[in-house]
Amino acid sequence: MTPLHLAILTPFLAMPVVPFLYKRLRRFHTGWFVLPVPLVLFLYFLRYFPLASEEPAVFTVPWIPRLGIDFAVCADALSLLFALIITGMGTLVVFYSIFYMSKEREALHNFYVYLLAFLGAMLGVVLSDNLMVLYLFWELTSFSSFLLIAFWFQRAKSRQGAVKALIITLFGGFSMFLGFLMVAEAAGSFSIRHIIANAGALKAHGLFLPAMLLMLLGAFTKSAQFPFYIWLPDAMEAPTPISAYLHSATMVKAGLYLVARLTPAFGGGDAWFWIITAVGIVTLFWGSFLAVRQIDLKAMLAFSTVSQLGLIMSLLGIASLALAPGLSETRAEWFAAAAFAAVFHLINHSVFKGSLFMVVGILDHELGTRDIRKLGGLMGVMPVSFTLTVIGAFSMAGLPPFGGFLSKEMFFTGTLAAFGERSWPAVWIPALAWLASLFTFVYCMILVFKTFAGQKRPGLLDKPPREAPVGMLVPPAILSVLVILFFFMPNALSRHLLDPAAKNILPGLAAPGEPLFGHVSHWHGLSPELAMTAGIVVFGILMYRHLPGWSAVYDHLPRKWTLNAAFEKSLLGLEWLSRRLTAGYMTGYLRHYMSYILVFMILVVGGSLVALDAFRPDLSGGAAVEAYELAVALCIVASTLFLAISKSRLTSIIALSAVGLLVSLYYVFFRAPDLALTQLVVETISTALFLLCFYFLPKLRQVEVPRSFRLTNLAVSVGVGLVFTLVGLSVTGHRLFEPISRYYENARELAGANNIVNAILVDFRGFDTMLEIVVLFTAGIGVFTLIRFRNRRRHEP
Amino acid sequence: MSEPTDQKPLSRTGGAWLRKFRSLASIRAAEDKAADDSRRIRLPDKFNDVYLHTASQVLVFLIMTYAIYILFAGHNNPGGGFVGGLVTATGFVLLYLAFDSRTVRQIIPANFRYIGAIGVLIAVLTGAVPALAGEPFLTHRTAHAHLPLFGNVHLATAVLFDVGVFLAVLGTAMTIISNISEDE
Repeated sequence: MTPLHLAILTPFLAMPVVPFLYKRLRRFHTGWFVLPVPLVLFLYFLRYFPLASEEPAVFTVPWIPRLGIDFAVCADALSLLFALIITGMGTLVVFYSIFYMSKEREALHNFYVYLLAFLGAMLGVVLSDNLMVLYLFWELTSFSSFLLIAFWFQRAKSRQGAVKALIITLFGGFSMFLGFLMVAEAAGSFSIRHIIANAGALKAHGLFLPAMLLMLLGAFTKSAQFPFYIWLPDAMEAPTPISAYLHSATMVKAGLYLVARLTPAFGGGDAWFWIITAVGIVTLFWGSFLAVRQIDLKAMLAFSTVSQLGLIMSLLGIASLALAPGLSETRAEWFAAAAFAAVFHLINHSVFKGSLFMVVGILDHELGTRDIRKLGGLMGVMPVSFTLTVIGAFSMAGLPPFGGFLSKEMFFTGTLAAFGERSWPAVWIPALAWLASLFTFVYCMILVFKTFAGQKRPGLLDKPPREAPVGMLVPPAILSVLVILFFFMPNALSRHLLDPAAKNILPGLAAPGEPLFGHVSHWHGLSPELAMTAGIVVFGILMYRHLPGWSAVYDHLPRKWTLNAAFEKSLLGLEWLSRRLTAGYMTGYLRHYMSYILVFMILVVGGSLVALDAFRPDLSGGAAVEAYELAVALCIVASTLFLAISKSRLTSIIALSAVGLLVSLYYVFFRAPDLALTQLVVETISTALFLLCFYFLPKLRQVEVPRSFRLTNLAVSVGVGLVFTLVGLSVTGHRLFEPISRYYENARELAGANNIVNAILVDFRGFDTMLEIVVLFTAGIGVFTLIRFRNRRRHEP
Repeated sequence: MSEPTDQKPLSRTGGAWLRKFRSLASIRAAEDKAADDSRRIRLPDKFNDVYLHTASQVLVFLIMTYAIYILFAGHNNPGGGFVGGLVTATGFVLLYLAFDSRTVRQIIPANFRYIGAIGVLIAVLTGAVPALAGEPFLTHRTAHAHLPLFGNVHLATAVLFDVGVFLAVLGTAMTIISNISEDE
């Protein structure tokens, strides 16, 4: 256990304390107690800064060494970048939530416990070096996201959004798990560093493509890429601090992290480049296109997040071209710039989108609505919020002097480079990218001007508009300052964090100690990128001005054939199918279930007896059959026959217990006192149980049963009898292994017990016994609840 | 409607015309009700059987003593926690047969679910304690001790585990039996 492990586990350790603090110290907002956790972790990760540019620190704690699963953590620059975003945003979001979440009305203990679980899980995702551990934390983030989306579980929409997010991300996560298994099979290890070192073996392996596709499915679902993005807009039912944190700044970036992390292992091929770039660009365009028509500010931000995630994803795809074999040095430099741009835009997006979400949260909190149609003219009333929105939105639109301008320019460079490399088949990459940026510009303008400019509509608001308390303005203000700082001092950030992180995406491209990407400059001369930005501004303003004129486009989108409808349809179809399937064999009659079980047994046991040619009766070693043994056997047969023809339940029960008691006689004959004793008592108890149940059953009736039913029963019973007779006869004919009873004969020395049977039960196979009594007890509780529950239902109609 | 006391179902005594006009479901409901009525006649809520009472009062103690004996004898002789638990359960069942359930609950004022849970807990803890001390899960130890009254005694943690099994089996069996028998 190293400090780095402890850092991941700290949020989990803090979890159980939170509810006590909430219950005991109601006077204080629970958020104040939670705040130190992300803050201390943030400062701790800052301490790792000097390490980032050097060899990464790896610490391993063995977990399941036999399967190659170790809790290995690795802090290189890429992980550190994410860890800083997670803890830094975490600190601001917790601070913000103290003012956003009412301490009187909300279940704060649940809120912060889920939030801490997420914080720890997310740190685990970005710091783990072992794929299995990464997967574990990955799914934990899905679950905490589920709980946080459904935080206001009284609302049906929250529950639906949570379930949708969970289904889609778990589907992806499980595919990713399969992909990981294939990767480990191909590369021979679960360790990411090892896999990257063995990239050659992985690429040559037959499982390379399926592993890649399955793994990407996980990344795309988590990062809300087309066509899996549909869960993200619905996830906006979560409280706004959560939307700002999980669903824009951190969790949805996990997919990007995974792609970036595994680029050295998978990148360089055509498939990787085309899939990721195409999905990214399509997501970028579609998200921005749909964002324009949203009337709910939060939904608009959700679609904008989808779109921006697509942008970063496509940059990662383009960056992977740098690893393609036979590339000229200038080209490689361009693609290295794309990797740098991806990291740069990632941190930019976290900062400006986090800020924008917080401002929308303020509007919602202070005005009671997020509907653009009700908002307007708030510039004078909420000047600080307005300024913050302008900074965030203009950065997102890619305008100077904000950080987004720099990364957006570099994004255009990247798309043009991809076009230059792949020529005309890739012409749509810069084209769609430009179009998407145009739409991005338009919705950014909507976000700023429809909300804050124009006419005041106080009549439509729930509360009189006023500026938010200082506490809520501080976190977005800090983020906005960062947005501006990133523009003016990009090289300081680049040297210490971004460039080393980009080097982790494309290792081996730059010599150690040398930067991958030289200098971030604000002015490149009259480049095509500048022309693209200028075009966006000009056309964007035109389009914003004539918004009502062209927004009729959206009415022509199909209403019936949407992705959401497809998702709903497939869920309903699955439900229908499983209901049909279950109804087909679950008849409600115990006798049917009995016959399923018995027929299955006949087929498997009898089938293997035939298929393996295992029927070899060998009676040579047997002892002579004594007359009394024969007599008992005849009695058993007689009582069994009597059982079959008896007309009353009572006589049936007596006949059945007679069979059991006679069998226990055999145990006596063959000197197995423990078995005999157990059999006797079990018979006694089960007879008593039978009699008890018998009291409740309706009388046995003479009912005409169809001949086919009787024949089936006959066939099944004869089959069971036959199979077991044959098995019994052939048991002695086989001796595949040495008998293990020799070992147990040493019970005296090994377990200090003279009774071998008991020594086996409590000592040699004690673990089995323990789990058996757990199962037994669980079954008993099950019977108890079934009976009690049924009674309660009857008494309380 | 005639009181059905024989084994014949109502649908036959009711006459052919009844079958024609009644749906199958309503016949079933009537039959169930008839079965309820007949049961009440056959078995009164509280019945006294002096022989059973007297015999069971003696027998239960014998059974219990034997159960405890085979629980601890199991280490070296036939027996053990599982059988011991079941034998104890038969003793309780005898009580349930001889007396009504309210009386039995006065005699044994224990909640059988707790007994079962405690048993499982004991069994798990006997496994967990050595695990906490760094040994493999469920490592058993044996020792000899000289106790007053008992003399030289062979002690084994395996017996403690068996006590857990005993309680779990007893608790589960009695939970099921008592619940079915007390069910209305």
